[in-house]
Amino acid sequence: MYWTLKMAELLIEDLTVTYPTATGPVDVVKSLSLRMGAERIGIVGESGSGKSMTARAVLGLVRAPGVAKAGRMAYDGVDLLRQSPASWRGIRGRRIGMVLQDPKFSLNPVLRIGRQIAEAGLLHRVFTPGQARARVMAMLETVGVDHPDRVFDAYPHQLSGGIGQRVMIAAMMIAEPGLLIADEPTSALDVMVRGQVLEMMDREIRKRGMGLLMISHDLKMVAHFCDRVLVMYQGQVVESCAAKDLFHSQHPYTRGLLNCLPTGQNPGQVLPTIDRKLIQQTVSHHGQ
Amino acid sequence: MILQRDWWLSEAPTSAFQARCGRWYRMGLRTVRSPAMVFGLAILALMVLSALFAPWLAPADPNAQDISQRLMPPGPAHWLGTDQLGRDLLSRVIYGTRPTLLIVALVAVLSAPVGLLLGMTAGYFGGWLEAALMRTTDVFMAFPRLVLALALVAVLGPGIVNAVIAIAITAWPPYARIARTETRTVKGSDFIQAARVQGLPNARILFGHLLPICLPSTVIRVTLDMAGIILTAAGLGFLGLGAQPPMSEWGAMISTGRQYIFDQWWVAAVPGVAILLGSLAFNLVGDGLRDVLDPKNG
Repeated sequence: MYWTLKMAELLIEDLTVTYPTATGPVDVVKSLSLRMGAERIGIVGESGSGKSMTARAVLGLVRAPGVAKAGRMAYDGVDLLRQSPASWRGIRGRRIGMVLQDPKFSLNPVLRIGRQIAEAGLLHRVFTPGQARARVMAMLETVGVDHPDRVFDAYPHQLSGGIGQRVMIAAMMIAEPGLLIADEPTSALDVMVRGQVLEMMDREIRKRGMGLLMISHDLKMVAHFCDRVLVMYQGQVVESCAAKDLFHSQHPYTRGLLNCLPTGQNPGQVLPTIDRKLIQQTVSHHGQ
Repeated sequence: MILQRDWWLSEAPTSAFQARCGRWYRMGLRTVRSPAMVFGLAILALMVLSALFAPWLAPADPNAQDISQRLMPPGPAHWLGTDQLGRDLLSRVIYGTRPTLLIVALVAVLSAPVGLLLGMTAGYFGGWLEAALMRTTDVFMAFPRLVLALALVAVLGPGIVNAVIAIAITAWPPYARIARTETRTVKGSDFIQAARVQGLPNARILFGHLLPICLPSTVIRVTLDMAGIILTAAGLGFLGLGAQPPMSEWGAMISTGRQYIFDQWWVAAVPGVAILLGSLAFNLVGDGLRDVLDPKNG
């Protein structure tokens, strides 16, 4: 892809996140490597497969006692392994933004929406306090909010889930980061709204030439909205393929996940579950 | 339009201003519906007015002595009687609201921010800092309030300012505990995560995001504590360590009235009732505020 050359690039080599437990250290992410430019990459996998932890590691937010180690981890030439707390703050929000899962819990319940959206922009000096209202209004309109002036002065509990998620995306895009990490951005929304929000997000990301790292357990959605897909299982990337090839994957875990999806072809039958023994064999082979 | 009840209670406000008015109006209605709170507010209003307009309200100079009129029982000349120096007790009670409210206000202004700040810092950062701050808090809480205040006044010397300092030093620990608990509960929540992901520094998360969450419970606790502050202030006055004579202070008034308590009961009873009503008012208002401010109790 031609634009990867000029766009900022996220480079991860051999990322491992380790947590100590009573029975010894456990790697929740095992030697993950990734290189991405302004493209849209999906990370899929079941709960606990290390998707979210990968995202947290990129932003330096692995909480103690967890430890993130990597051979190299850099974004746009900035070494993400050697950042002080102060310099991290210049990267989070400004260079790399992250949209969290549920707007109900991700917006401060006692602050007005306008202030919450403006915050990152003001913090990173993207605009002045005088311009804040106009900028926030414009951003709300961009993310498809019909009455920006009303939403601006509202509190989070007054918003619907869809508007809430749009607000969160607005809050993350206002400081104009080059890379957006979306951790299950639509799993709290119903199907109709989900489609609208995803389309809006897709449109804005293309328009701004941003990179997107989408974390999800929704294979169909990821296949539809991303260029490339990484499939994770127990902290490892077990498969990496172009999104359009995902449904033809031969890997037993990916196949297992796909088989679990209900379709119109097998009504009335019990859906299959994943054969963990088989996968375990393949994965341990893969790892050696 | 603005004069109609419907405008204030409209379910479909046409402007943000109307919505805000409606919210305040409903809050007011909820307040008025609780007779206890109305009673508390009325006494409080009376106290504040007495303090502000004491020279105009008091029938006599609170310090004017008239030995020929000493220890007069309540009657038409002196509604609440006179003390051993012939001073009008009603006037002294009215003037007595001044040191009382002054102490209450100053203690609240001094101790609540300190408690909030320490509690929020402890809860947010955790670790050894939290351990150190909260164990210090425990040490302060282990002392009976009046005894600690007494010790401090003994060191600092008597007087209103020193009483305020002494009470403030004993008053902050409960606020620190509340703020710490509240901070710890919301610290791990997604919106604090989201703030961190946006690159907000800790100070901004603390003051911009956590402070508004901790504030309501602290305000309620401060109001409830004001009753205790009145009692502590009166206790210090009673022991001669608070306001100094001839200033009319309720605790000190009881202390002098003690000598006459069996024959001239009103000398001690009048300031005693004033203290009772004052602390009762703050208790009722604090209780009512909790009902109004806390959505879980609505």
